[in-house]
Amino acid sequence: MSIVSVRGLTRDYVQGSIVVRAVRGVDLDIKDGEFTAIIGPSGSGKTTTLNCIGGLDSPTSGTVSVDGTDLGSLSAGALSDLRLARIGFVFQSYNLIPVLTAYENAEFVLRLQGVAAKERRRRVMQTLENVGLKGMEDRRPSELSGGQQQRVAVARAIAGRPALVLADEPTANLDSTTSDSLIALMRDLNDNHGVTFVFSTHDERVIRAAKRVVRMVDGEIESDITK
Amino acid sequence: MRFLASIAWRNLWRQKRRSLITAGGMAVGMTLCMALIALMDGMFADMFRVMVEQQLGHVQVHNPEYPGKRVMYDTIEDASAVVASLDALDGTVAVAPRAFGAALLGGEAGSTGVQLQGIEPERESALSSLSERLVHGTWLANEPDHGIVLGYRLAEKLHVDVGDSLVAVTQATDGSMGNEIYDVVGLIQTGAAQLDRTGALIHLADLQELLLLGDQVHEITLLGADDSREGIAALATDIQARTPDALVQTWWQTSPPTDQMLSLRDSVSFLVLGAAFLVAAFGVFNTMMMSVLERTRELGVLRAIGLRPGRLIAMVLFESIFLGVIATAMGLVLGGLADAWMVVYGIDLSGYMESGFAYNGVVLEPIFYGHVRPGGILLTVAAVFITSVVAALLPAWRASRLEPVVALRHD
Repeated sequence: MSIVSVRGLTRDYVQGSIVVRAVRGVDLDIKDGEFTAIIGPSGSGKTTTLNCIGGLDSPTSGTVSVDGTDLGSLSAGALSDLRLARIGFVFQSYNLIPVLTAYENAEFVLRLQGVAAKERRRRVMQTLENVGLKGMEDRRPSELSGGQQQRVAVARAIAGRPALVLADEPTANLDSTTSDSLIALMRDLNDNHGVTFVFSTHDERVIRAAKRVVRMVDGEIESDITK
Repeated sequence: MRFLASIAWRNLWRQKRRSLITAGGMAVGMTLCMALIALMDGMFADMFRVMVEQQLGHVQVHNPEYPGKRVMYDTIEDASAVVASLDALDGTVAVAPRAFGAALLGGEAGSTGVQLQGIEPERESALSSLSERLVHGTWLANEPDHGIVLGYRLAEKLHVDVGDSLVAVTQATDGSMGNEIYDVVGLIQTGAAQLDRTGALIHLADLQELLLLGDQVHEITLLGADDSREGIAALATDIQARTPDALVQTWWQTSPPTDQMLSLRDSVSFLVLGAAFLVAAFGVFNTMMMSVLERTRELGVLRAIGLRPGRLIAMVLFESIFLGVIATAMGLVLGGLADAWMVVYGIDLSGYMESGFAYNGVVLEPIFYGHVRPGGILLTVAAVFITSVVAALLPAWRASRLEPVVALRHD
């Protein structure tokens, strides 16, 4: 079953009088339980595609559906609700809330979802343990290494039990050891907890770990290989 | 919402110095407002005391025909009985009967037209401070003895001083010419031009004798124990019940211009608050705008992970409201001290205006004391909160309009 269905996705950006077409008529389906890497050179349109799937950006033409809901038909508030309920995000530069502890960052989405305090605590503690941050709950982002911060970001992304996690270059700012560890973590969450991941990445290690690799060039899908 | 408030509180302390400077600026504005409002309230309280309590009284009783034409025949009859009846009324503090008559007042060196005012000295002292305005001589005796107290300018004009005699000539109520000799016993300097230039006070019984008024007066002025409008209106109703044929008026009915002048108090307060907090609003606006701009990327993340625009607005507003709470706490301490100083020491301008400050016929003491009322403080606190919210509306709205994808690219 497809969680994500992209049809004829085109995204233009206007820079002064020049129109740049970042994505050109992309068709893509992501099924439940996939571990998909969207790869390609810089400017190939992979991040734009990811942003459109996550409802962070709007297509110039074409449609993006998540769980059967056409994102183009939703208001800003409804789009927020859908992201909150169905999509988790991991960003290249972690993007944690600096005034919140690791625990509070991971808990944030659950609070917005209105999960009861007891259940929230159970799930956050379990998630932090799953990402290897047990004992670091009370640390603020500034007290954590880059790898630990990205683990908190992963915990935040999956704590709300989304149908899909979108990760934009999640290992770009990490050293190789930390990257390996993070990739193993996400793969474990995919294999053992059924979390669907879609990455945009240049990282060969992520590409090696992916079950499906979609290669984009000049805004179009050049190849789509399931291993 | 509590969680958003908690984040807002923590965000406030990310730029501790900037937040404290902004809150400090608002607190200084609040302090100035509290002090100025206390000063204005003090001045208006003085005006109320002088114009209302010492001149108009809370309630005035007249013959219904008298206020419009001020003809000496339109009197309240059986005045002693009426005054005694009003004395017995619950809630009255002072009851002062008065009579008036135009006369020609002459001495050895000159003469002039005056308005003779007949008063009962003891009752009048309970109501007005005229007796405290003596600059020479003594106040009228409690028993009629043909003594007269003059405004000091009138005395200069007539070239008389304490101990001199004057002749008053007037037309009595029966049409005959009335005349009498009075001895100048005292001179008053009130600062009120009309009273200083034409004021001539004699004992009520002396004026009744001169005008052949018998037991009649033109006016009975009363002070009630409760000086609120509700209290005064209730007193007027009680008086009307006892004097059904008389015209009973509250001070604001007797003198609408006085009412209008005193009602300026709130307008002045709003003006002071508006000016001070307009400046403070720019400070808050700047702080919140900077705060939002600095955190554009972070706010984009919050939007991306599912925070609704409305909740983002609430979070930014919480931050500004907390700023207002800190400013209020600081302002209440500083403003409280300023208010206390104004109440205890006041502003002493006696070096510049020894005899007080005359305005529109009212003479205020040269030391302006503050008067603190809870309403003035509440108004200032409300202004801080309104400023906090209004000044943060635009930054909050801008934050809510951020496109997540654009905000996430922000450095």
